[in-house]
Amino acid sequence: MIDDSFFWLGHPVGFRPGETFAAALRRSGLDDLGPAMGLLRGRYFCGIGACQACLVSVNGAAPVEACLTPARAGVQLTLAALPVSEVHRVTA
Amino acid sequence: MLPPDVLVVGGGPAGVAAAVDLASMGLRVMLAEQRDRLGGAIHRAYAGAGPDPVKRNAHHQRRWQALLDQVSQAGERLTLQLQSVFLGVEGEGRYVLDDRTAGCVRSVRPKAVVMAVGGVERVLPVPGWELPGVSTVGGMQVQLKETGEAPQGRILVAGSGPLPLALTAQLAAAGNPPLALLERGTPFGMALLQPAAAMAGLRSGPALVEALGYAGQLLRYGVPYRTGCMVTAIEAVPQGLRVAVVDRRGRTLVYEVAHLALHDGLEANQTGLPRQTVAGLPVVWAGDCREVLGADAAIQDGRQAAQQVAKALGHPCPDAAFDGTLDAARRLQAALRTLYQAPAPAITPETVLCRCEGLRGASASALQGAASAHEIRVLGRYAMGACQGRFCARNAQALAARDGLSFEPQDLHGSVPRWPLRPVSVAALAAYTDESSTTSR
Repeated sequence: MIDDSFFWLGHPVGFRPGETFAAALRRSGLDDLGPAMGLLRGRYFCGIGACQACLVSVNGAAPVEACLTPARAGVQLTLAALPVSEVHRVTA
Repeated sequence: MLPPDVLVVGGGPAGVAAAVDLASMGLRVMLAEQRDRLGGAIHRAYAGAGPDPVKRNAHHQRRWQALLDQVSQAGERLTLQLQSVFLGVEGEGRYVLDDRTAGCVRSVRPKAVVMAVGGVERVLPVPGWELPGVSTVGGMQVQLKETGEAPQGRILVAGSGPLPLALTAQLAAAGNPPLALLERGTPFGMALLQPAAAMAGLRSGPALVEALGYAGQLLRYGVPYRTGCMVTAIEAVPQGLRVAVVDRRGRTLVYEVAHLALHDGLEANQTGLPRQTVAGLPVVWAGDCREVLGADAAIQDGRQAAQQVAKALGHPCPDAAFDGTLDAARRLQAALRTLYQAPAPAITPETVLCRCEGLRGASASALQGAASAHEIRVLGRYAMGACQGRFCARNAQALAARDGLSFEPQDLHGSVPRWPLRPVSVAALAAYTDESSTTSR
């Protein structure tokens, strides 16, 4: 039963109590978690907090792994990564 | 609150086994786990209501339930510190945890420590592995366990080893059979060439029964198991992902899918773990972070770690006789490595080698003069991103090996642990609580 929701970039996303933000995002087809370093994209990957690719910000706070963090009703989830313009580009 | 005698980091089978044994000896134990529930990756709990819809291995399930019963019996001797991430150790032996429920960093100064942080998956880099929609096999599996649902849309599972087989069977049983399971190796052909390894695999009863069960599911749902197939490139297309594959005869196959799960083996997750003793405190590693041997061995290893800790503290402990579980697991893992051995995909200029910083194969030319792992780190920025090299260190090793420079992945870190192990907020640091003394804050 999905009756709770949080907001991803302002859009409501349903979740079941006890599941992570990452699980709810995937159910809603939200695989792309926005711009990341080196012109790449944030995304769910390892599921155990090791790869740091699914970092998100909850209510504007410092980044946390979406794969570890239990979803909470009513919160605003936004990109944790820097916008591309601020990403330092490592050149060869 | 009195400081614990022993801090156990990691709430999977090894950590829980160590914690309940130490508590049963009368020691005060704090068990720190990054998730809100115990289980680790293998026993990731179902978050929904009612019975768990994903069929789990009955043998592992029974053993895990027995451990959970012991957790409830341990009472006040065992404190669970959930949603708490291990960050590192400061000079005087205070273990620093990011307590995400309380929103503060806290430190504890135990008399001994068990590190049981499990394994990490290896994924060989191919162009496009970094795209959204691509996850590890274990990553897809823990979400399946957590939600009880397979992802919607077409799925492809690829890579090597037994875990992709397990995931494919579980996805099929959950109502979304993958298009195919692509195995880089040729385990059946290899079994004929390496009969000793094949026999070692056959002698492992529970593992064989488990594998046959998964193979039966693949047959039942009509999921093809294609061996000798290597993913060579992944591309983002409007409908999802286009995955190019070369089969054993050299033909190119193309799959269009919504989700791709990749896996090329498991490795011990040892990045940044304190070794032996820190500031006079004994540290014991247990389970897959010490040596990847699977869940049964992890429980045994946790129990052995508890004995080692008790002995180091001079605490009386019953002499436990340990059977050959670890040796049997070691033989099975060696046999699997032999049966599944396969060539790795080539690194191309566009292949992303470090996802955290977006480093590609093309950047290798700048590193050709590098004379050491340290130079690879400083010049190339390998292992300097947020994951601290858990995924790129092997890639940097492979890259350097092409130019004749050889080193071990952990050499990229040098001799100094790079703490904090995870990004931590300044707000949590500002709210730091030191529990190593009886007064806090």
